[in-house]
Amino acid sequence: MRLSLLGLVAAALAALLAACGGGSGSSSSGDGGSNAASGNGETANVSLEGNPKACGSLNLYTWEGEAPESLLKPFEAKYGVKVNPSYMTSSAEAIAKLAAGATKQYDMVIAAAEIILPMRQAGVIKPIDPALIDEYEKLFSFATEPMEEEGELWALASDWGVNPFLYSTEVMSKEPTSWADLWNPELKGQVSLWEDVSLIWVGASALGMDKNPEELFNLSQEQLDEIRDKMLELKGNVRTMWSSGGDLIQLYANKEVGASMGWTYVLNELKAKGAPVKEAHIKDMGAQAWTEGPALSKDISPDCEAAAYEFMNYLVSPKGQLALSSSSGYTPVNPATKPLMSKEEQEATGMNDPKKFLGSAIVKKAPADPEAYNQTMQEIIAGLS
Amino acid sequence: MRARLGSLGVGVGIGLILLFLYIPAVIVAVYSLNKGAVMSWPPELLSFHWYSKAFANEAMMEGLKNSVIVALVSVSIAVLLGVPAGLGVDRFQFFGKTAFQRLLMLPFLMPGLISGLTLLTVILDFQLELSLMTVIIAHATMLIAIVVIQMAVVLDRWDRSLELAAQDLGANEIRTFFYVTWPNIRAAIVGASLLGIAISLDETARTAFVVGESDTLPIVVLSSLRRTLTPEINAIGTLVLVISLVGVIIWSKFGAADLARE
Amino acid sequence: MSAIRRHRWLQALLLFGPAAIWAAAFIVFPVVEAVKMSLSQIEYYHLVHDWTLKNFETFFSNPLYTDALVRSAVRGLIVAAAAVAISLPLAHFISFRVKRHQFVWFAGVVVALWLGYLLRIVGWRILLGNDGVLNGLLTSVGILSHPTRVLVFNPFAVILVQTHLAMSFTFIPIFVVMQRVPHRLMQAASDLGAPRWRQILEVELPLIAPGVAVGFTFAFVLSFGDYFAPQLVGDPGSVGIANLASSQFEHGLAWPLGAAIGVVMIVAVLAVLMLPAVLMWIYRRVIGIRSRRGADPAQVNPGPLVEEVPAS
Repeated sequence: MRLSLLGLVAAALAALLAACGGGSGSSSSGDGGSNAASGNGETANVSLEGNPKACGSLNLYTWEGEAPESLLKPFEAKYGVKVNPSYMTSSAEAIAKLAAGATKQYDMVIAAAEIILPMRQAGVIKPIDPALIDEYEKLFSFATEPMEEEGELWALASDWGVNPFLYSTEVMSKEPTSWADLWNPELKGQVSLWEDVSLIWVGASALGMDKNPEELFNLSQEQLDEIRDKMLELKGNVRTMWSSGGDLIQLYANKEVGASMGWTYVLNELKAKGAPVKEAHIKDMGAQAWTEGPALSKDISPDCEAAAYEFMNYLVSPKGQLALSSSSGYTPVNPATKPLMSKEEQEATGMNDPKKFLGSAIVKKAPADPEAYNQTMQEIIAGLS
Repeated sequence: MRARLGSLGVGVGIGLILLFLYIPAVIVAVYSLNKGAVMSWPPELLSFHWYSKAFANEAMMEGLKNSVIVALVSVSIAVLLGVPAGLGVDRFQFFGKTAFQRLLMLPFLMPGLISGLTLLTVILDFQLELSLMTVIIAHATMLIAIVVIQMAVVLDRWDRSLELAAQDLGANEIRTFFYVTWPNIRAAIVGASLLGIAISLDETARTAFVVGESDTLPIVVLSSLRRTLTPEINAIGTLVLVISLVGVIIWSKFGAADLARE
Repeated sequence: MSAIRRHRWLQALLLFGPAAIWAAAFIVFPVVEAVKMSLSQIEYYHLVHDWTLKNFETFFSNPLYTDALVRSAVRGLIVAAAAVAISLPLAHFISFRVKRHQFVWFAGVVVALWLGYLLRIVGWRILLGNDGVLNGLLTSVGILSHPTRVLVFNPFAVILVQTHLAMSFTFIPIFVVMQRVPHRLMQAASDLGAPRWRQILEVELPLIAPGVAVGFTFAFVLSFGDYFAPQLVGDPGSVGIANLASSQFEHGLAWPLGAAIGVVMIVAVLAVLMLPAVLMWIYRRVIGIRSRRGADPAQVNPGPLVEEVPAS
């Protein structure tokens, strides 16, 4: 055997050096924590005293697809501040990391309205001053308002969307009109449910509990039990659960299921592949809308905070919104973006008629008692087995 | 006549078993050549564009590179730790020796989830970074077992008196090792290394827990499955399979026959 | 004599030291940490070490977890039995019926399983899916009038896929051990008039028992700890204990609960790993007493375990 083990070891040592160099940093596109001056978390809310250019780079904790070059490069060119994106795979992961000390590592984090409360409880973000965002008043209020809590703004909405009722026209002959249609006997073995607190929203809508939006996030134990029992009635209809967009796309594409709650990007991917899947505009959409945008880390330095405001202003400007929307497929929050978008883009994101796209959907927020909601969700999943 | 039928029965049985083993590989390979992204019947052949897309896919190529790095480094660590340990286990008797051996084997015997989970709790509690290093640590810990097993197998039947003879003739530790011990364990180390590399390249479960920004190939495949339909993963998988097949054929031509006969 | 020769303990230190340090840091310590976390709580996303048994209480009082534990254990046994049942004839065929190029056959088997963990599951999903290969073939041939949906997203699919995944770990130990069975032993049995089935049962099987035990154990552990197959080809009822453990870290923020599930799994797996040793011990106790009694199988008197059979 002519294989030289020494050669193998030498190669391995070289690889070890390479791994130590490139892999042990926090992000693959630049190392984290390279702020010029790391602050101690003191807020300087109303007037910004920092010098944005002194902030070498902004570390942005975001989702894949939401920090494209088309967005970051023009910003860097115009303001001289580099943006370093890092990607999270789940909100829970993000909050946990921040709570464990990553607030020093990231300057901004993309937060959905439904994680604002947990983030505040974990003490990882600081408020944003809307007066410093030029176009704030012009943005869709239904997207920006859910980010306000107790008189303060905690995240700046940069995109929003709706989680529609998806169905296959081969399985449902008539367009569904309500979440209650999931319980139809014709859907036996055709439904897939999201392994998420959304199970509760679906049940709540089916029971008519979403008439008062605020109540939806403050359900009593009695109401939660009612929802659980209602969801368990779906037992015969549910074929399998889905937990990622890829799961759902595969299920529809291979005709394994015919109805579910889904995501817009899933629908767009399926349409592109020619699958006969449509979304239904139903009256009782319930808490199926979402909004998200950057929040400030509590440990952001004054210089980087100034840079962050510049970034946020750029992000919600029509040009920035266009770049974000084109890459992520999500709907912009700035109405002035519409003329810049192509017809297909407008239709795909619902910008051609945002009010209709939103429908009666309520933007999701965090429940007041996450433990109880989580427990109910577990019971539903367990009971469907 | 009965013998004929018996032989036929055996042939059919073995054929069915081989079919069972090969079905997924064949299907994945066939659909890597599918025109569309939806993998349904009948497949629309023949298109190589998933292969070109796989090569153009930066994340996938990065993942492949990282997988190779992780495999080589983990195996090296496992060898550096496991070979001396194997030699020691062979030479010494002490209280708790079997326990120590079993301890080294544990990460390989436990489900990947457990190894990944326990390592993750350390990382979470001490607020450490997830990175390629954490993946390497997880893999190396698992692969030590393979090296130790191989060492035990080889040393078991090797005559220790050869070493003593060399030392009686005046050789010191280092010379004895290089001229007497090494040639005999070399084959075991190479075998364990190759097996270790193969295992590390495919490792998914424990890697998923301790992976950071830099993904390995199996994690890239997992992320792809979670995002959307893409036969690019079929392409890369088939490619790895074919390369392994070729590798095995080459290896068998150049002297693995004696290992099989062992 | 060199310093190393002189001090045996120095030799031992050099040989074991590195591995021992690594084991302490990356095997023992993580388990200790996991136990510690299983006794902690999460409050507002911060880990609080307050030494409580609450997580274990949650585990054992909720059928969601205990059912999943039992389900995974039973599934593990089935998968292990199936994988061994398939590996045995295959290994036997290659070892004893294939005259030339045994290595090629061996390689052929191993390489088929080398596709990649996730891709093998995906391959099965394509085969069994609603518009998959099997349904497509059966409908075009006319056996089925329309595709059947019972092939996938059920516990059977999970067992099938996991058996396939386990084959790599059962075939190799069984084959290796079978290779060591000297052909002349089988030949001798054959010369003495034993039919094939007796050769296999009474000569081959006892000799390969350790390899079979190893393969069985590996397969069980693989199935028990797998969370991909239930996710990708299972229904809500196929959820295994491994899925519940991993989801506490992925979706939920309940790391302490996840750690607790992990600790329970460790105990379960350790118990199973020690099972072969325990069984061997029992086996030897019984057989040992048998052989001490002499060669006549009719005169069995193994003591209190078995009824006394009077000598004829």
